[in-house]
Amino acid sequence: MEMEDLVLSEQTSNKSMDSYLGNDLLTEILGRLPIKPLFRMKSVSKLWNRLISSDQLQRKMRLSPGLFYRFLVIDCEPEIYRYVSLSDENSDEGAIEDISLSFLPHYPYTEIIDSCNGLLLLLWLETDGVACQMEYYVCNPLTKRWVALPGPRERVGFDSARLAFDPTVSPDFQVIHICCPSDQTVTSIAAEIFSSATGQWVESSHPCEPVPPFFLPHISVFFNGILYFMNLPQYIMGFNVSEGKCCVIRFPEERRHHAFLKICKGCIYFVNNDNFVINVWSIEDTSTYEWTLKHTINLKALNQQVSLPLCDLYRSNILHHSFYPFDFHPEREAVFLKSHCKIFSYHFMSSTLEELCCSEEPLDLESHTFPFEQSVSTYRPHPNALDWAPSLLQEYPMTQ
Amino acid sequence: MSESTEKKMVRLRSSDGEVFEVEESVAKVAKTLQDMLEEDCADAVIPITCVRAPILTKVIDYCKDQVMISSSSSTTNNPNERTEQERKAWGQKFMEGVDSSTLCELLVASNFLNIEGLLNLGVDKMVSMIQGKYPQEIRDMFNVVNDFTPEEEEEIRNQNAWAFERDPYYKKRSSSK
Repeated sequence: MEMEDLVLSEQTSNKSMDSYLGNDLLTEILGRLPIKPLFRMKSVSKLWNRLISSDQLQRKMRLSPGLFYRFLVIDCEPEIYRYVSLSDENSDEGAIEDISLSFLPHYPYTEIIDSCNGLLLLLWLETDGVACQMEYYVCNPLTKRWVALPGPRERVGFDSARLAFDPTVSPDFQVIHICCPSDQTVTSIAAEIFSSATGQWVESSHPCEPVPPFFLPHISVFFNGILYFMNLPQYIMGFNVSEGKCCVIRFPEERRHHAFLKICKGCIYFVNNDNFVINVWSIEDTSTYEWTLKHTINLKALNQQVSLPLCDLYRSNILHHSFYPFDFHPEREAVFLKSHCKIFSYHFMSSTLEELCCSEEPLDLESHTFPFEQSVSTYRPHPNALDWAPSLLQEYPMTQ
Repeated sequence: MSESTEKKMVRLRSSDGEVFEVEESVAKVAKTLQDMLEEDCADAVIPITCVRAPILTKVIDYCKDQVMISSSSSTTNNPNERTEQERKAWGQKFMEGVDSSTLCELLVASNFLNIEGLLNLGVDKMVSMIQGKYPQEIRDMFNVVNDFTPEEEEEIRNQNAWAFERDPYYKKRSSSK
């Protein structure tokens, strides 16, 4: 029978097809759409808009983590970012491809310096020996909305500015520029903070436990209103952005090269890389800041376990740090590892190593970032924030 | 009796009164019917009140194929890979030429009869029909009334302007040198 020739019966013809399908089926269909077509469908009708914004659908949608990495091209542009989606377990659901930052001014001379819950903080800096021109940009790489920020008053360490953005609490973001301490013993932290709510930088000083002078932070995480940054060998500093309070947390063991912090499933993770051993520590209770050793793996054993191509094995053994952890999955017990041209993930629960991507040229992951790590499944938007992170920057007045 | 060795038949009646006689194994592909048959609460003719004859024909075609697959799956040399490929190809062919209103009816039918495989096929087909389209095309396709005021629609469009971009690089800004 030719199905195309069928004419609708009375039960369907006088109804719109979407109400005939019912909300459950329609939600099922919408839930399988890629992210862009899904957001296009918001303007179909009020019902569709409501379903797409609903909790039920938001829980189904998820964006895979992905990262921007710097692609070193010799004799050409100094740096260009590429985006790679790190979806695993054969599911490309929620994977986002084709993200270019070329919509930003001065690209590719614009450098990513931080990312936080879907937004990126970028810096453009140009010096001709005498004068220095700079600008910060905060952008949503998915929606391509961006704003330019004026520079802070303090002219040192532009690239150590940190981004604080939690769409579950507020639609506004902050940029925190910690000033370099000059004293032998630091007893207070001086900072300049830009708020998108006011559009201004505000200088402030906050007393803290005495610590040795520190470098400006390049590794930080923002969690529950506190910016945790690593700038001392023995400590993490926690800076409560809205209350201006500082705390000092001692590392559970000596911090090594390539150590980093991460928020995974609502806990602070500290991933330390000691020779060929990776230790993963976590803080589950931020009122006590007690460390628990969650996982430990030996990279040498890992090397033997998997059939890494010979060149990679060779390099890993010769160049100690060419096979090392660089990030942690925001929702699963999995660490991301980098070798010369490849990215792997190691799953602690199943003790398996998985190759995620392979580049033809060396990867510079010093500048990696996970722009979409907060999956929509855990997302509870602030009532004043627009539906979802892709729209969040829109409320902020554009400054060209 | 000789008839007892023959396959047991089940009769289904569509919403528009047509009666279909199918093997019990075919009917049991639909979980809803399976439950009824196993609890023995099925009448001589099972009324499928929300499914019209042409749709029920299509549903039965699907169920017949499932029964055939499950009885002949051991004949291929490389069952896993080939069945997977074949399954995909078959699914595509099965849904070929199905228009949106038929598809909606198929979806409702497979949802009601609880045929997961058919539902999945239908949802995937619907996703492929929707994803390249613009809101107005969707409204035409689904017979949906646009109940936004022009201002409201404009606002939602603006909020989600990024999702309407076809070419991610289209707005290339000229950088300073």
